Amino acid sequence: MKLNYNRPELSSSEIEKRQDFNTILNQIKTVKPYLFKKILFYGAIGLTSIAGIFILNSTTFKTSTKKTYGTKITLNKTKLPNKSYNTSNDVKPIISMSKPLKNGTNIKNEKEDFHDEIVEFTPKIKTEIKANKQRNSILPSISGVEYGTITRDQFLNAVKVEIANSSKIVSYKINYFKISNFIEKEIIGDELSEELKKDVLTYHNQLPVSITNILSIDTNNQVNSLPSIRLFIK
Amino acid sequence: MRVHSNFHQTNQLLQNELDLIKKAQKNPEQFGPLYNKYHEQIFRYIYQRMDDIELAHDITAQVFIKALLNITKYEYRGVPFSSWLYRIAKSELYQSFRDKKAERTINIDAINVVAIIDEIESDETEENKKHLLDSLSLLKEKDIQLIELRFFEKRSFKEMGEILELTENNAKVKTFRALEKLKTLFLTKKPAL
Repeated sequence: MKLNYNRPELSSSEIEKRQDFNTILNQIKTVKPYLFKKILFYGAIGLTSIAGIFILNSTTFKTSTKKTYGTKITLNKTKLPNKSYNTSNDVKPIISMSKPLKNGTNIKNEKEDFHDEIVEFTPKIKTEIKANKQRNSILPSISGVEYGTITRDQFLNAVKVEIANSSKIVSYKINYFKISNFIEKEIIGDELSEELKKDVLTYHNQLPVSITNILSIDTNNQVNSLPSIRLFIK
Repeated sequence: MRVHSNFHQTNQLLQNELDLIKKAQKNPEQFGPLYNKYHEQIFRYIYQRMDDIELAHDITAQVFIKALLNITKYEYRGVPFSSWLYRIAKSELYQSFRDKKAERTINIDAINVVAIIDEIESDETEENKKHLLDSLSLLKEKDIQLIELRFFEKRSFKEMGEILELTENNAKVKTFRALEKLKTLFLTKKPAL
């Protein structure tokens, strides 16, 4: 740091000589505002962001739609046990399956089903739907429950991990919480042992129980990986 | 200690100044009267803290360019427009120190030395004057700022607060502490006779 002692003072007239507002004004005119300070910049950024969100949303929607209708096909790979098996029937909404029961005719245009009149689900129709679903199902299940809530009794009465078609389940893993630990057991075969069920029912503590890595073997000796089962025991 | 009274303006003067600001906000060419009014004050503030007259003029011009570019953002807070200009000046000045374009300089004259010696209750001997200059150069920048504003430029605590973005009381307390530090340095580092 420099220290000046008794530096001669500048007079006001000397300072005034250097006053030049026009130069300042001219400099202002030459100084262009930064790009990020322009309203146009923000406008462009905003519009691009909105467009981006729309594009992203529509892409995501398309992907998720495809997933909904395609997951089961992908997971079952190539060879499915039933030769006449139609995957699209399996994933169709239930409302479309009820249509042939009412009219006794096949539906040609599946998309129209979404806009059809409301179908009354009589007990007969419900039973038929369930049977149809089970017949066509390629999903593994526990007491017919492929995903979601299962009662304690349903779980307790289950003997094995089932699959409706002629495939046989050869192994699976079961995951559940026991006290505060995450338990994973690998089971060879499709059996649900009494000991295992008791253990799960005692400790699951309202947390989901997952049956994963389910492998099946079909009539052509083709090994398939099946979708997991995620259950909430109530 | 007597302070310069040009900071304290009547409500009427402040209102007139506000009218000028509003005109300048609509049309930058109307900034002329404000420039003419404050150019000398701002230049002196800058030149007081450095020793390069050309650079001081350049920084002053830069302050007014920044003020004009940002005049639309100015909000009236019941204090003179100069407070806002001083804050820009302070920022530009310290930027030039950081960029090493200018060297920080303490400019002090004999009258101010006497005033400070009087404040720290010492004798006005030549030796004490020299020792005071040495002690000043040992102070931290924030304390030097306070001493400069209060004792060299004779500003009120209210104005100091506006420039340094402090409350009036805080400016008063900090100046008192800075003076205490100077006094301690002056007494402890005093060469033995």
